[in-house]
Amino acid sequence: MEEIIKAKNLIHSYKSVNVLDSLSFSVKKGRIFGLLGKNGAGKTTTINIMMGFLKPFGGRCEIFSEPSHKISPFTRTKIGLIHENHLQYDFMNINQVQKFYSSFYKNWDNQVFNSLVDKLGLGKNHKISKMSCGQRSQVNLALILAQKPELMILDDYSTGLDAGYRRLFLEYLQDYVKKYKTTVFVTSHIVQDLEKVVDDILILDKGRTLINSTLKSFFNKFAKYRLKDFKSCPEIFKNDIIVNFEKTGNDFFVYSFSKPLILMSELKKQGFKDFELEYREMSLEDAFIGLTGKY
Amino acid sequence: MYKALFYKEWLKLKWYICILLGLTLFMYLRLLININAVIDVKGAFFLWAVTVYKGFIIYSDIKYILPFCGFVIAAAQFLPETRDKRLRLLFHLPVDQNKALGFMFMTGLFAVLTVFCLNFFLLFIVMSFFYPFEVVSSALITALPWFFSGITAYLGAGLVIIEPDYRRKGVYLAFCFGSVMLFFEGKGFNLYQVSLWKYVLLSFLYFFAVFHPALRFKRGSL
Repeated sequence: MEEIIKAKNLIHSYKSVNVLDSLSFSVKKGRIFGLLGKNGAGKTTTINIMMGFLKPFGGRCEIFSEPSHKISPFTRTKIGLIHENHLQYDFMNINQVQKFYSSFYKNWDNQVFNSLVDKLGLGKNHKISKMSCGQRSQVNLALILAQKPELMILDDYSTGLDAGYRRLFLEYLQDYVKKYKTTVFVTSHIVQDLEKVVDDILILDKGRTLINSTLKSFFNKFAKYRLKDFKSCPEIFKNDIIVNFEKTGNDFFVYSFSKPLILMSELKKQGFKDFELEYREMSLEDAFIGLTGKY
Repeated sequence: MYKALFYKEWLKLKWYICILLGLTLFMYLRLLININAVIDVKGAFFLWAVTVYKGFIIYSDIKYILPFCGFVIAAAQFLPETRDKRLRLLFHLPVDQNKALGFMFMTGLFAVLTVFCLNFFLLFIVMSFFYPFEVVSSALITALPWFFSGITAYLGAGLVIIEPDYRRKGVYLAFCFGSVMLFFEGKGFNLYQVSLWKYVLLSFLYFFAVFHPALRFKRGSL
């Protein structure tokens, strides 16, 4: 399958803080790729590099086989980008922003734009500067869907959106991707939303790649267990087998990529006695927190 | 595409251009009334004497209109583009980035030149009411550096606003202020008649300078 985005060994830092540490990934055509990470994990930096707004200290990134710092105007017509914080020309009103952007994209679909913007219930002369963050984000999402891009890059698209519109947008996005075979690269603070839509995930933690796989394969490998009936609770250390643990009241949970037998043996080695492991279902958000920790 | 870019600039500038043209008209109306008042109170000979024999520049109130207009047009154009790193919106448009930025500056320069031409025309009209052609042409040559300073003010202000680094902004601001004031150094008639073209050439060098901070912004070297 054709690779729309290829990033290899991206390195970047701000002053002495490493933001990206040899980040590599690829996004295949028609897939929805989710980039997850806590605040400051390097998500926006990655997008800025991908869009040519930032020159990495090392590595290489290609979009549609063009170096990201030299994306041609023609290739940019194929990319729909939602900027962080839903940046937009706020001196324009809805009508003007539609007129402005529609001139740049030959596949522009006014019907798509109008159907999404009409849900706002605002007049077409309503200025963007007088909109709430949520309303502005709805206009921005309508703009990039109307553009009918081959690749959508949504940097924290959910900022300011209420639960209802988030759900509506994701349903719309899924249908849209199926219909137009669009490739999507998405980041969001609301991890549970992504669970329903992403095919592949990349989880970053302080610039390091923790996971880079399909969502299915991640859930097949990564598991959460509750320790039942344990007699003693020794000091526990994280390692390759015990990825993370948490104690909530009397419950003790362990996260691991290893098989239960290997995990049990490791727990015994660390001093747990007479216990049983109980497999627990996880949402993507549980898995994300299990992997990266609460803070 | 360029039509759309022009549309964007027009949306930002239209009210400011109207206000600046209105201000210009007001200033020349005021000049006309003032000269009339001098003739009414002190007589035409007095006006002739102070202008021709004493070298008093009766139209000096219009001195700073153009740099003011240049500054306002640059602010109206570039503040909404640079707030919260909005230049990224421009750089993501499917247009060559240098051409897009150059086009924006050309549009702004066109607006400044419109105000410039109106000033030139109005000064010609107002002076022609009271003076012979020789004095009128001398007034126009005397005022030309003031008008050209508007171009320097526009390009310099654009450079200062686009520059993302505050220290560099400060340096550019000082440099730009100094360049604008070069056009106001002469204190008499026709003083820039021979050298004006050099100053104008210097102003247009700013046009090339504006691409540098934009490139640095794009590369994220803030």
